[in-house]
Amino acid sequence: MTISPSERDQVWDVAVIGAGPAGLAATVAAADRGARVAVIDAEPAVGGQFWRHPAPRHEPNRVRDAEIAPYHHSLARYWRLRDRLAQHVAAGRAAHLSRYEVWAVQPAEAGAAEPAPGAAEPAPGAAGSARGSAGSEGGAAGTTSSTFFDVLAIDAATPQRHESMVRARTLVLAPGAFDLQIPFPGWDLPGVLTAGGVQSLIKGHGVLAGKRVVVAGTGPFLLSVGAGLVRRGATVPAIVEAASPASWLRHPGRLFSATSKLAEGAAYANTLTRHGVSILTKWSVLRADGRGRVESVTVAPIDGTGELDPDRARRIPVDVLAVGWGFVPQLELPLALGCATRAGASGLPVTVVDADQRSTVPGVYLAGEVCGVGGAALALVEGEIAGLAAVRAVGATGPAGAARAVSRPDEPEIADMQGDLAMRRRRIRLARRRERLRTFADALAAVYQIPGSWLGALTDDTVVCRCEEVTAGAIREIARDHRAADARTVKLLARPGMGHCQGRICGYAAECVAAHELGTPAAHRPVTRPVAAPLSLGTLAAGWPAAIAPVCRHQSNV
Amino acid sequence: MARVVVVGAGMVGAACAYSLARDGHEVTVVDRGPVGGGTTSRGEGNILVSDKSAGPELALALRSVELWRRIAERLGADTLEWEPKGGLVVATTDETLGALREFATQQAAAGVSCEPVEPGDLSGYEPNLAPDLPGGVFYPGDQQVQPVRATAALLYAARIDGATVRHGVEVLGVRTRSDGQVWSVECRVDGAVVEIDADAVVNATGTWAGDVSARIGAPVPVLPRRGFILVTEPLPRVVRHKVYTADYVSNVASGAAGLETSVVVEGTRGGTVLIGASRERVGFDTTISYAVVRTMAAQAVRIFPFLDRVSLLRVYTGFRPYCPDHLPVIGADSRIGGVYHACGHEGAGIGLAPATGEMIADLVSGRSTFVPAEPFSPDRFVFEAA
Repeated sequence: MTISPSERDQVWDVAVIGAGPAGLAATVAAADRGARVAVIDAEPAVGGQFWRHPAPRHEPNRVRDAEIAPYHHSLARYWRLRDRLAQHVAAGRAAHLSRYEVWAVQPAEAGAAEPAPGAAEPAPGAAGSARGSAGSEGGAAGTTSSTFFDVLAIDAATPQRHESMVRARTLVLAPGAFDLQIPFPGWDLPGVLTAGGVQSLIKGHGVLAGKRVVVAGTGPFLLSVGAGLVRRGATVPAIVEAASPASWLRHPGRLFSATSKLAEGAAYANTLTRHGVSILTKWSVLRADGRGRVESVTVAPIDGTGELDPDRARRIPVDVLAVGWGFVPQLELPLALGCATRAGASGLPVTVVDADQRSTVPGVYLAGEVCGVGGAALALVEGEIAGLAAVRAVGATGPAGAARAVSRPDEPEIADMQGDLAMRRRRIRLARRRERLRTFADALAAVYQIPGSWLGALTDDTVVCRCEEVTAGAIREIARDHRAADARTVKLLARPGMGHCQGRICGYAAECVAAHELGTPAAHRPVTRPVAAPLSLGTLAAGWPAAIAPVCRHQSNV
Repeated sequence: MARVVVVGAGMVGAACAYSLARDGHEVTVVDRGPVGGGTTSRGEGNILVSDKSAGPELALALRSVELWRRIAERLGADTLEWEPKGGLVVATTDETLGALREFATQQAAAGVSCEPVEPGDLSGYEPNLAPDLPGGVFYPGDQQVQPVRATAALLYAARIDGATVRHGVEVLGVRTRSDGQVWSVECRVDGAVVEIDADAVVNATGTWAGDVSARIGAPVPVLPRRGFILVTEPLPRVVRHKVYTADYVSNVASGAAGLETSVVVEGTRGGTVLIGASRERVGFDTTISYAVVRTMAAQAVRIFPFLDRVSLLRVYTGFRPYCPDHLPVIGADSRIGGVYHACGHEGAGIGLAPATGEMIADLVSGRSTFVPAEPFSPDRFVFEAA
């Protein structure tokens, strides 16, 4: 598609999708450098899952902040980013499109590599600095991207769910991840929740999901959820961890590489100890029971063969069971654009990025959990790197240029050099920090692997796909029937994942069950879902939506 | 009995294997991918007579409809998710209605059962149709299967009759004897080149048949024609038949390379409503065109207004294998003895598969065919090129 000069007014420098730690950091980094940025997010307030906040109200936010502050981490950083974004929005440099659900992204060829409005002609010094900087690897840094992108989003705040479009020269995709779920007998009972869901209720609303909650699964996130629950006043009879943290001892070097993360973990452990919460390691969920609602969970130790030992099982009365097995990166948008993926540390696909968080598609940058689940600290770093790289690609001059005009109007080169030097230092620091956090994340993933024991506990009558009510037995039967020689065909025939969730919930488990029955290794291939969020056919039928222009009339509801 | 290698484990390959194995041939089905992994898994499972004008393809379709009925009896309708639901073709203007009625009259003369439907009777067939449609034609012969299930079921039946199915096998070419007759099929398996002895090879590789036929040394012109299908959220039974607009008829026979859409709406057992069927010649480009998707949505809402508020769940892309003259290629290739083609069915591969399989088995076994085979012969391209 060719854009005419008048249409160029419609094009943003950067569109950031997702306002969690990664997206927020990318937005602020890009806007700080003078780019016009639209950040699009489904939630009412910025912060994502990690810094989930209630919808902003007209009364001062800090009152609400204080209420939920005890359940959050590194809030000072959050407030700083949030306030900085608000400044950019007020100054007309950025827009926060809150409660917009992105359902599709589409690349379109621009007629020529013309600079976007707002981004002045790249100063020779600025372009040179980008090329010369560490980590740019001679790629898009100096190259002006010749494409632009259409982001199609539904305004969930309007009852009609209006569709809008954001056109941008570069994209930073930071859509995050969702809870990985694994079926077990009783997992579909009301009161069995994901650990992430339980955490969201506490963080976003200060609400307890239950009074007596067992937290089970694997990963340090369970400690965080458990600590949040007891601080809020819930009883946590046990945290049931399938992995054996003693295996940390096998990676002592990595322990020292992320001391702040360890301090965070130690704080949780301390809280849990004070409240007398017992942590069962190498134990897992055998089943949940209850009439109409979960009333108890039965947990059992994982024996030497990797199976749950029912003879040593314990039944624990609960009113809520929170289960967390890690997170699944949301790859819909990167895949729709054709970004390459690889198998991540958990075996699930993650996107491929370079040192600048560039995807394999020019003009598309990726940050946060889509690049491999690594937590908020890593997401912040990746987001900032992505935001800076996107700005270099569009050639926005940024505050280096703005500062130059004020401080050294007579000597622009010197100002440029100073700006370059600071930027280069910043980028080197970010690169190191990312390396350290990535190493730590990979070490965590290696320790907190999902054990295979759940497959043994999965009875034939357990529903695997809740949308289509496909049981484990139905999947196994088709695999046994020899009608299908591979897990993909088994899934096509048994049809888990064809309902509302489109396999987002059951995809991992269905693949594992089919592969296990066939005796083949589970292959978690990326699943293309061209409709990333539901929208009505009527909305589609109404035709191409109007573009939200970079003149910031559309601001967040803050 | 002949040793036959069927290349392609899609719907057509499975139907060929099914008929050949029933004849007692020693059948090996090879595919580089899984069962029904290509275009088979990308369609609605249409078995249509309604969209075909009088001619050789309609003759094949009429035979296929009968064979699908028999297969459903033998293997179980539930196994295939076979539904003889019938098709309702509606016109959106008085002009198209005239063309549709005339088309139907010719079809009736060729043996298709069809009933004109007056505007007041449309709601008796489909209560949720737009009330302002000028009329249509009902085709009781149209059917539906779940294509991957049907493919798996036919392969399963073929295996019981002695066939072997091998996946992860990529065909590289064929070896011939000094008299020009096929001797073996050369394949790559796990990186190693292996030969499978064969008296006959059936090219049933669908959209990829152009490439495979060239490798074999007997090229036929089969090209991809992209299509999208929109899938809604699961609903109660709101669409009873296959319902499509009369424009579809003219699109199937069209030679235009650009986008053509005419809407096909139908329900599935799972409750989802499928909306097809765009046709574009854009090569193997899997990118979703959201502009095309919008056009399809608008056309679907035009005939079923309730869809306006229904959620779109997913969109999938497929590539129909088409030939320049819009007829499938079925029969022996005169250039290499023992090479048969069964490909180029465009959007009708599921529907035409059993009659195609039967025709191939008849030819391999040296019998006369039920439907005259000449119009489908690969030789039409061979002599054209000469």
